[in-house]
Amino acid sequence: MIESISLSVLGQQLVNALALGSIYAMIAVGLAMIYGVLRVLHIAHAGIYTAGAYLGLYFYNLTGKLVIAVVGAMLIAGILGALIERFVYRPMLPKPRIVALIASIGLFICLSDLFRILAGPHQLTLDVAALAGHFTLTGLTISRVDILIVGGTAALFAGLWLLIRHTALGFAIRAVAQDIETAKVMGIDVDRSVQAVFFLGSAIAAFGGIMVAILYNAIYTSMGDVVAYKGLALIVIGGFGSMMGAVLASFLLGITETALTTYTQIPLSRDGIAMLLLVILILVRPQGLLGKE
Amino acid sequence: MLDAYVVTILILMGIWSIIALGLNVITGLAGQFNLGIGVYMGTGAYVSAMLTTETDLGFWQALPFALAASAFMGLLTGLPALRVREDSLAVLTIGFVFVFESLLVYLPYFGGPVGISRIPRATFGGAPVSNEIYLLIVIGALALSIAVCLYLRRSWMGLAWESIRENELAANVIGIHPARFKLYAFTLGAALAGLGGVLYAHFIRYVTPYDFGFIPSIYVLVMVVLGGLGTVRGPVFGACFLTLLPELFRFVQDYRNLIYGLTLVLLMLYEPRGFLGSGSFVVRAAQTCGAALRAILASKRSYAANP
Repeated sequence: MIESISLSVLGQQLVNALALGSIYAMIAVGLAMIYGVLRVLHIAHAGIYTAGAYLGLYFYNLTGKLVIAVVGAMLIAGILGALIERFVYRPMLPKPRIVALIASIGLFICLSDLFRILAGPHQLTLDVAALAGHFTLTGLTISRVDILIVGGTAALFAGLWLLIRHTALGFAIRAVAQDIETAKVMGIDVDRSVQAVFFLGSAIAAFGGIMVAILYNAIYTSMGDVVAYKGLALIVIGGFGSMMGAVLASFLLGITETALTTYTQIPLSRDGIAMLLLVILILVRPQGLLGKE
Repeated sequence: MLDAYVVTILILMGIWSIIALGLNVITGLAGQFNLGIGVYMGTGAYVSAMLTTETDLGFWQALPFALAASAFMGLLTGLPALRVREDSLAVLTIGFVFVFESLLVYLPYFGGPVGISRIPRATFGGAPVSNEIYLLIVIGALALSIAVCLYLRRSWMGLAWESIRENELAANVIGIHPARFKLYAFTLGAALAGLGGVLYAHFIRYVTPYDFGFIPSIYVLVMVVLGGLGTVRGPVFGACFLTLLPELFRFVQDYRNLIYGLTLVLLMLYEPRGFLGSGSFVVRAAQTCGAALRAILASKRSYAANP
């Protein structure tokens, strides 16, 4: 009896961990792509993620259709990301590294304040009736949101993988990530590739934002704060610029974070535990999980 | 005497200047990214607050312990920071500040999320001081901090930091041990930030973990960058300017983050050296004016000598 209970708890936690890992992965993969091409720590990415949640809410209230809300938010967030690249990062590339980093921080706090001014300081809710139910499967309750998150992440990543590996644009992006100067000499349109990376990464982050908003039924201006840091730490751990590494690190964090909060009594918040884990991992493997020395 | 409101603003300007100078030692002089200055500021503030509320130590007796604790915190966070650099270091220091804040919130020993209240005023000659006297103490501390920073910049240590900042590999080759000097920078910068934290705690007399989190750390970074990273006048100017701005313009208070954020982005786009950094447009203009003035004076003098 006890065994079956603990087994179902384990299964439940595994579902939670997978959903959490998927959310982290959606943030981290965009950050890793962007770092890969520009070598910029894009802290404002968390602002895009929050923007995605707000845009999703806006479109959902406008049309009442989740599909339109998700697609609309992803499109606009993607354009926003591309605009940030064009007008903030591109002019800064020749300057020292700290310049783009500080600008990114500025952009991030500026965006969160903008949401506060536009949508008000109070927490908003995103109640999607179609996703409210859950399945019961041999003692496990799996909510529809969890399925959408894990399935959506899988579908998005499969699409992204196909794009990067099997299209001309993906080839150009890989070339730029390898060496921006050489790519330029080879006649690759570097600016277009970098814009595409920002568009894709931002759209995926917006998807993550909407999913988190539905999962916790909450949208608030500082929802990106902790994610900003976790995402950055994840790409450091994944090995800078490595998309596979970032995804791997995300799921690893999702699982460890869930396990530690369920089975241990560390006197820290859930996020505090995650941060501690990330700090330790960065110290143990500064070059990242998949990075080379 | 001065208006009570003006005294309050002046005290806050002095306190933030000291904290900004602390961050400037680590990021400006030694060139080590640090986005978690709140850790050191918070250590100073919390140690002093706890010693003066839980034991019968006064402000001055607790001060050395608080400074030592924040310097030690600098050393402690500096050691792991030696393993990483640039972007990883920035991420690592954000991690430190989140863990620090989370620890303070979740350990009831430190007062939890409500923090510590009823922190006593500083004393002088046995009696609690008025805000005017406290302003003098803050000005004294700021003068001392500026003197230390000016001295450090010109000292052998400052030169070593500069070489590490410009090219760590080359510094290593000419016999400067980067790890040692980075640790000096972390320790000294943390002690300065801790001093600012102590002064803050005994002035506001109420501290919470959120006063020393990520966003306050970013504010300090904005101050340093706005004024001019790596100079001594820059951080002081930035801290005074950004403390004064919301007081002068009410709308700045309401849209503080929006304005700070936009300022950062625009500065990085058009003047990444800050307003008073070496080579910035203000400094260039001042130098041009100075040179012109000197030329005029010199021509007048030569005219007076042999008309």
